[in-house]
Amino acid sequence: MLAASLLVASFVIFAALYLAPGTPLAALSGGQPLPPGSAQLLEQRYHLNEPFLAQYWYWLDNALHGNLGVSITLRENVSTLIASRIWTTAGLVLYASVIIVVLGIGLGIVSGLRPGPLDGGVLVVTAVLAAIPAFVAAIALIMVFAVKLGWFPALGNGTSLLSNVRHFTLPAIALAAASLAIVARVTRAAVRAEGDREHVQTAVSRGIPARYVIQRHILRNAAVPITTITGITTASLIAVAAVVEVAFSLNGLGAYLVQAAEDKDIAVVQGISLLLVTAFVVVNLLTDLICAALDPRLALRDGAR
Amino acid sequence: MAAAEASASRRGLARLRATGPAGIASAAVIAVAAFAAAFGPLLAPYDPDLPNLSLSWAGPVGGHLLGYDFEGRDVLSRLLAGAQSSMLGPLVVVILSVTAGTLLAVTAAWRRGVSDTVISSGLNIVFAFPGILLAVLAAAVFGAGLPAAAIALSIAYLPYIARVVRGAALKERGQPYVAALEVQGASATVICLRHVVPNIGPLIVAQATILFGYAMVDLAAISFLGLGVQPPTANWGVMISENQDGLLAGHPLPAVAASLCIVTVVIAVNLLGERLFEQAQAARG
Amino acid sequence: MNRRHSRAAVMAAVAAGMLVVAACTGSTSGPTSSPGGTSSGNVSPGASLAAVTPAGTQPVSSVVWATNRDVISLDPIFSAAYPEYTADSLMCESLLRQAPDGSLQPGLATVSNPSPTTMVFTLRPGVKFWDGHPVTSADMVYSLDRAADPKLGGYYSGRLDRIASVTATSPSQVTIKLTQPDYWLEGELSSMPGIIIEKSFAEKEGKNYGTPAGSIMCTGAYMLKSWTPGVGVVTVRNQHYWNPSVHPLVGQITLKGVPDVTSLTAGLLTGAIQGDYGVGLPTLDQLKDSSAVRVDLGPGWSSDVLEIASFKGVLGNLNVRRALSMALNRQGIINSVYQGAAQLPRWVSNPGTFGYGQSVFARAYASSPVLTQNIAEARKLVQQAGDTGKTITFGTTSQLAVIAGVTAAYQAAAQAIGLKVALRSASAQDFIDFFISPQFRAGVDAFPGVDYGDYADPAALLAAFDLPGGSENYDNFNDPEITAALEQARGTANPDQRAALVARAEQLTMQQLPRIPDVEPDTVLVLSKTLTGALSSTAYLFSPWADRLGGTG
Repeated sequence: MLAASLLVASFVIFAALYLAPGTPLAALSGGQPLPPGSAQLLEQRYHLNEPFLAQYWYWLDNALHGNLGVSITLRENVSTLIASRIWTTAGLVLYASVIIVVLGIGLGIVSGLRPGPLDGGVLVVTAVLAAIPAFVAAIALIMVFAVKLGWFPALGNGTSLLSNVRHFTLPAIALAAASLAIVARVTRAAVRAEGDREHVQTAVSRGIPARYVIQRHILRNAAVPITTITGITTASLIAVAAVVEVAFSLNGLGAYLVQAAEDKDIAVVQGISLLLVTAFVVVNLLTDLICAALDPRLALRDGAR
Repeated sequence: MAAAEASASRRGLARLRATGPAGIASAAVIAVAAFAAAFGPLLAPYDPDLPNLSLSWAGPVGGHLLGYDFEGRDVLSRLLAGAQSSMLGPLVVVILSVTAGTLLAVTAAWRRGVSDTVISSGLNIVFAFPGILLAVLAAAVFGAGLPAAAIALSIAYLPYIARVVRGAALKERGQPYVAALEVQGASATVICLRHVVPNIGPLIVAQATILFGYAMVDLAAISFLGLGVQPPTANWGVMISENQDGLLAGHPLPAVAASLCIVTVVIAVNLLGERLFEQAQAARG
Repeated sequence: MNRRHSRAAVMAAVAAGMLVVAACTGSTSGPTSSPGGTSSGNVSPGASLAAVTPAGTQPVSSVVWATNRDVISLDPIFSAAYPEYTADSLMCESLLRQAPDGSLQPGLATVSNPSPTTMVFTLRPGVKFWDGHPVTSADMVYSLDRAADPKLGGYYSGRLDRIASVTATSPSQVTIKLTQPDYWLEGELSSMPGIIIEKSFAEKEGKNYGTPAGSIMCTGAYMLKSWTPGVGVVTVRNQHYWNPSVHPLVGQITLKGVPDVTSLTAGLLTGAIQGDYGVGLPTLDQLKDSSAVRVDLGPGWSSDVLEIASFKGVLGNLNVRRALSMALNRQGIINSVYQGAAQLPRWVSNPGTFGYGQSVFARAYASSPVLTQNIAEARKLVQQAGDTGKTITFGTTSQLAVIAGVTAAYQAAAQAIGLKVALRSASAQDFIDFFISPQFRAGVDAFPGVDYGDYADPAALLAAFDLPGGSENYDNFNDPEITAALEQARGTANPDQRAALVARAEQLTMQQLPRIPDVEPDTVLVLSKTLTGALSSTAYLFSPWADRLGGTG
């Protein structure tokens, strides 16, 4: 499944950039026309004038042997360029996921179990958070917490592990905000739904302690939809990270993907896209596995994945 | 047919009433936004497109309730004119993805077997493409703009709607009335279009409403990256992008006003969609 | 990417011709000697602008400097935009050097002209590379051949096309023979094509020279320590710099690409970034008011112009071009697009580019009329031309604040004189295609751009669009008088005579308007209040700009 996805993805992306108007050379020259010799040389080196399938085959052949090609803009190996940025995006997405899981599920459970003013507050806050685009959140966070209050740095990656955490906090919050709201709402709904079920009511009426009821009955059964939505939103983080990376000047893969696509730096776009697709598929696979572990009945049901 | 339609709209209104005050308020907000989208350019008190650099960033004064943007254009007029593309984009995305998604999902659910496997696998491959990636590619091929972004998002949302519809259609297919209709000799198309789809209609509408909200936020992000609606066309997402320098320069009003428009409509859409979804789930048991 | 407000395309239109940078102030009050002048923050537009800031006195351990996007090459023959120029000029030196006021001084070598078609470069004593090896004529020949060789694909081979041969006539001397006299060549050799790199090092690096996979070997006061794309170029002080009169004070200078304006402004305000040459920075007012940084304005070498793409449409009529120019609200552009950091033009070229023949240029400039706004008159011109109601199509991009702002001003001007306006929008990356692709330009009448050349000479900008075959001559503009003046200037040895010819070409250009000048931007230097000493003229692109950078007392 993964291999099929990757193959189709790589073909589609290659075709898209091939069809796109403009040339990769435009990004190199800063706006002046290249001397004819330069243009010819570069076109030869990167096979830019050959037919589509030939170009695709060059790339595919290299890729299958582990060589992702060379960036036209930087004249450096794509693998190296990706490797140096992957930890930024991975760290950011991981940090945001932790926030989503802890805060999102936490708030959802708490508000699901206790109707009242806390619940109402959570509903309002999550409704607003879910509607805020990530880049709006980013700008607001920079203005308030970095520029006005100075609590966090405004941009960049930081140098040590500790300073990385500081530098990534605001971006992670911006990235996590909308998703955490959605997870919280779905968690709350799932917990509520389970709480109303017959077997739970029965357990409560029998005098079984609340904590036991919550753990064994409510959470156990609510775990599947909660895990599903968490998985979906985490997978989507990988893409939305691009917007946050741009706003905070983080050297991540998302920002680089957008830049490379605009520069028509084909090898870089291919490399990063395939990585994103793989990550997406892996996260979804993990989600399915966890769900199946939580509820064996799911594994037996229609398994056409 | 007319009677069926009339009762359908009565049912629709009844469903709306049943969503409670939050649902009704949300519907009202959406109605206002839709009205602005339809008539915005006519309602705008000033020219939303003519720049006047001597007025750039000027504050609210006279008839200009929200002041001027970075090019000296009236912010309120621009918001009204911008409602069109801001609402149209998500609408197109929803219509395309829901139509295609429902079609594919019902076909897969009805036919089962090979068709189902092929369609489901295809959708899973699409599922693996993050929406932003598709938008970046579409912009590269077709040039940055609303059509490219809308098509890209429609494709990206297909698997989500298809998954929901397929599950519901499968359940529906197992209902006794379907077997009865088949025995009577009704064709598959007729059964699907006249009975299955209308019955899972509320679920589709609920999902579509939620997707509208996602599409609005995603399109705003795509504009932020420069790949969506192109300035100087008025558009809320573009207005945030164009005027964001003002936030740090002491002129927050244009960007904040545009952000509030997006956030308000998305909240309304999300709330309404959730209520409708709960309703639909409850009705189906 | 963002990306939205990157300043990339402001730099996009590098004139392919040559510009000799001249010392100049932005004002029209006559030449001012700039080096050593003091500058203050919040300089008013009319005051004369200083080309340098007071030299730093305290050592500083580390400075983070922003560029408008990541550096993509450290090889001078593949460097074509602001970030690469900034990086190359920080670390490398060329045969001749551009002084802050734009005049040409000896760099690594001195030059003499035994005949109109011969140039002799003699190395100054003691010049050596970072690795301690002395610079020899072999390195000079290697570097020049490399720059001039079309087969290597370097971007400047066309500018060196009058070179017939480069030979080492002694271990410290190189003789260049020309096919024709070319007095614009000295300017080129004070810029990227004249940068000298070490032959043995470059040959060892081969294709990796100047790429992230390889390294570079230059002679400057700051040396390359590391280059990680996406993170930045890290340079450190050269403790054994060959020039005894320069004592670099900063331990480490990091060049970081920050394309997002909000991010850059936030970085400057919070001190994460300590310096930036703010080209078209829309948040200038905010920075001027901040307590973290100071804004210095210096003489600019670039020109904000309307590039005419086609004379077949409504702009084919000279009176329509005049009308459009007359209706333009230039002061509005200065105030809102440049926030005061620009001057009203009298010529197409920026007076900051008067790098030679200053008094000749200054007199001619002062005698040229100031461009004033007169909408009523402009409307009449359009009516007389019979073009009222016709459509004019502008190419533009909204993702670059300067281009978007200037387009807005032209929109207003065109509508005010009775024309209909259509816009063709591109993304920031694709905006460059207006300059280099005829297909992309098809159907577009004009588009704004900011042009500058490799050195301070008004002729370089003119050559690009006035001369037939010029890289920015998009629709076969050819005025025999202008062409004759420029061609003659290129072959004229005497600087004052050359200046007179170029001044004449400027005045004739203003009569024919193959380009409409918008405003002349100043150089904007944003510096942390704890630092001083960076160059504040556009010489920073082509000569060492951090040699006097250091802490304030």
